Amino acid sequence: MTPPLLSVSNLTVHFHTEAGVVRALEDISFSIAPGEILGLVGETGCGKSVTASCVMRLIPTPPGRIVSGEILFDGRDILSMSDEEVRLMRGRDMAMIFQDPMSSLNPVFTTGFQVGEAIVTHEPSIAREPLRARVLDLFRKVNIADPETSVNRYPHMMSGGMKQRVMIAMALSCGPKLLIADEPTTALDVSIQAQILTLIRRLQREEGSSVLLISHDLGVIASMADRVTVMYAGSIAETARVRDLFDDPQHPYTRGLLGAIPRLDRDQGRLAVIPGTLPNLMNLPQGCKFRERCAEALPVCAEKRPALAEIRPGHEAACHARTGR
Amino acid sequence: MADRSQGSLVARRILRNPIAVAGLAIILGYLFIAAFAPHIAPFDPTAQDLSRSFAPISAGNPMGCDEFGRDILSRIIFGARTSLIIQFFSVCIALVIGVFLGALGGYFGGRLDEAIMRVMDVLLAFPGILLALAIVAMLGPDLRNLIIAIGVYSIPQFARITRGSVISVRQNDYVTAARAIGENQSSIILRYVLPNAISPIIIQTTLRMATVLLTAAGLGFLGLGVQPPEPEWGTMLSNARMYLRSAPMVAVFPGLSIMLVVLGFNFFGDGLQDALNPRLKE
Amino acid sequence: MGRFILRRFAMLIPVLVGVSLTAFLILHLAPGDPARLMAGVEASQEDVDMLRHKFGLDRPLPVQYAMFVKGLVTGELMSLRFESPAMEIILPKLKNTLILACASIVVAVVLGVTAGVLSATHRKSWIDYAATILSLFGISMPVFWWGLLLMLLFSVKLMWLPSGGMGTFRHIILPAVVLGTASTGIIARMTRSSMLDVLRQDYITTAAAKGLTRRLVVNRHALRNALIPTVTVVGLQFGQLLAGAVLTETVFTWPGIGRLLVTSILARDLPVVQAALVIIALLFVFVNLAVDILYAVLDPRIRYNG
Repeated sequence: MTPPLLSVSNLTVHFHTEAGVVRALEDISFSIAPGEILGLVGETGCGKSVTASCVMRLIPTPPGRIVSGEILFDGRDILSMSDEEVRLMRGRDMAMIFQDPMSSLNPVFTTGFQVGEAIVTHEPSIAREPLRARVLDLFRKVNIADPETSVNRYPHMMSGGMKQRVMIAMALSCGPKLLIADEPTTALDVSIQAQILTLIRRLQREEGSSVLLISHDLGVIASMADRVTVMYAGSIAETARVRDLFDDPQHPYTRGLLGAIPRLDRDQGRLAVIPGTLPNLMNLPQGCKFRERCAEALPVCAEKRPALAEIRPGHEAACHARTGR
Repeated sequence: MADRSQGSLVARRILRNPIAVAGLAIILGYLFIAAFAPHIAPFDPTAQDLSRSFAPISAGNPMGCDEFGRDILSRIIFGARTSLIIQFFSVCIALVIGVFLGALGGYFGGRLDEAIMRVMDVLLAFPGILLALAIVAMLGPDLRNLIIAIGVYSIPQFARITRGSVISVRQNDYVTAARAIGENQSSIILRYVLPNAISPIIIQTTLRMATVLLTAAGLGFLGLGVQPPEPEWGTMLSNARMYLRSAPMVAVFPGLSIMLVVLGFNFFGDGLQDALNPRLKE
Repeated sequence: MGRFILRRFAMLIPVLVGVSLTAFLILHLAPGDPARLMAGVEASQEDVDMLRHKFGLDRPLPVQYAMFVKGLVTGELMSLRFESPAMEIILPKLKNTLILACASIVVAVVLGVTAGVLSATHRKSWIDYAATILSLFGISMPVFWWGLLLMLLFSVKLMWLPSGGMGTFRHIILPAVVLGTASTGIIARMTRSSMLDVLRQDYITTAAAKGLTRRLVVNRHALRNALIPTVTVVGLQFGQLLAGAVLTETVFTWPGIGRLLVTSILARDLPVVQAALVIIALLFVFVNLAVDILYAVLDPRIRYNG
């Protein structure tokens, strides 16, 4: 088995705010193999984006603080790298696409300049003409109409879908081994969403890069990812291959999520709803974070936080009800 | 209940900010001195004693004496009273008229708003002290006219800020809801719009207290403010300037007083701005 | 872009009318008889009547306003103190004031922007606190007192710099620093807050995620955006400098329009007062127009929508 491209182990991150300490991530572990698409799914505020920012080491410290853990990328520990090493790695070895293309591009520079800038950063000696050719090539690759004109346009002159294509072009500019896509379609119209996802999928195949795809939308994950990690309130609830997760979800939270999706292929009656709300990350309960909303809770769930354990090969869940027996 | 916790949160943020606390302390000290001036001042601020002209700093005259042998400390203490009167009344004038005009224009919009804002533009076209200077030049220099001049020149700031926040508040759903259930206009403005537009107005009021004092003292320095022998810091500086080479100390204390008080309001206003602006909190 | 500028020019017309009307009314709303006011308390009744007739003060107000505007435009408005047109007295002084104001704005922009950027990028460090406190001191400093203090130190005690007048480069140093002090503080505060605002934006994260150095992220991506609101403040500060010149010029006997304004008020030379007020207001209004246009140049979002 090839070693993973990215492996995150036991990552714990806190945010120190005026109101108190937010335990954003608690003991997170997952890995991505070369060429693999890993979906990271969960509700808003469960720590998906914080995880992504940690991998790029883009967490502002303070207020953030990485308490413990290790992030290995290509065998190197990101958390112990110097700032300069991290900088050289960003954009070249791993790149990121953000949720909101409207605000992710700088309004005062042309899109072509902003894509070119990513290349120049990592290839300072590149000449003007080859640079322009590279940018135009990237624009063509992500299907931006009329690349010659588009490179000279400012972001506000483009639609959201086009801007997200520019962001993808920027991310791919240096052929990164890992692409982190943080809710890449959430801010877009439904009709554009499928186009962007297809584009990411196609480019991932062509480039052979790995993708960490973050989404709250299980439909997106099902159509894109090879494996899925489900997060809940800063912890990992379950990790499995997509088929396994959808066919045989183990964690009660995952089951709840799947039950809340409307389906056309079978008559499910009323949509299931997970009762209760997310726990407060500043004041987490003892034991399992999902206990208060869980129909299968055991006495042990109130005392001990469940650890991630293998249920079957490649399928892990953090639930006393599954692993305790 | 929500208001109270909001208020205590703001108070806590201010008390945690050393700059704001310093400002508050200066303001309280200033108010105290102004209020109890006759009890604190060792001498009559207008009593002349030419034999003690430019008397140096001593136990009896901790800040020395001016050209007429008047005790500078006593004049500074009574000057605080003059300054506070000018600040209070001129800011009141500007606040009442400015907020009224701004709320009117911002809430109703249209031609009324256009007309109000054009008039404000005209007033703002005379930058800084100039409008006050022109008004004093027209009415003649004395305390009352100074207050009017400074009040009028502060109106546009209040009008603009009120208008801006009223416009942004007006678009909120709760205002639309109040309108939809048919509440009358003036009660909507007073009950829903203004209370929610209040924090920029409070900040502006605090910062304006600083500007207004600088302007009043500036006019005094030009000989167009409060007329002697009435003690006023700017006017005191104007006289001291003539003896700058021979008796430089006489110029130090009035200027220091102006700076301290202005600093107090600016420090506090700055802290208030941070405390009331939820975007800056982490 | 052309339409944007045209529209801004059109909006100036009511302001210009308002400015001239205000300056006109300053004389005519004053309590008492304007002719008596101009002639002085000691003048005989005949002199007052003659003055009243000579200046058309016995004509209806609208006619007088028309005459006033005509006098301004043609430059025929006469000074009472000097036997020459008000404009001839004002324009050379205006040049001196502009020299002073420009020197001050350069000081204020260079120091203010630097302090603001350092403050924002070193948020909550001692640099930030020092810059904040110094800025607030600068804003709170009474110009005239600050001028006197610096004059005491550098002219009277150390004798390094002249205490007043105009001529060499050394003459302008003290007045320019004094006049620019408050603006430096305001520009620093403004730059700091807009910089903090910009540093929170998503595109700053994007720039960092590309692998740009912190220096490039700040100087290229953040500063360019943060300076857009600062430009407006600089425009407003230019007006403050013109007004502050009234005090600074008095302290340093700088022969500018501010000092002329004060001496004219004290000498009741009202035509010069009116003309000087109108000129300063015009200048300020046009600087603001220029700032709006510059704003549009700096911010492509406005350039193309305007």
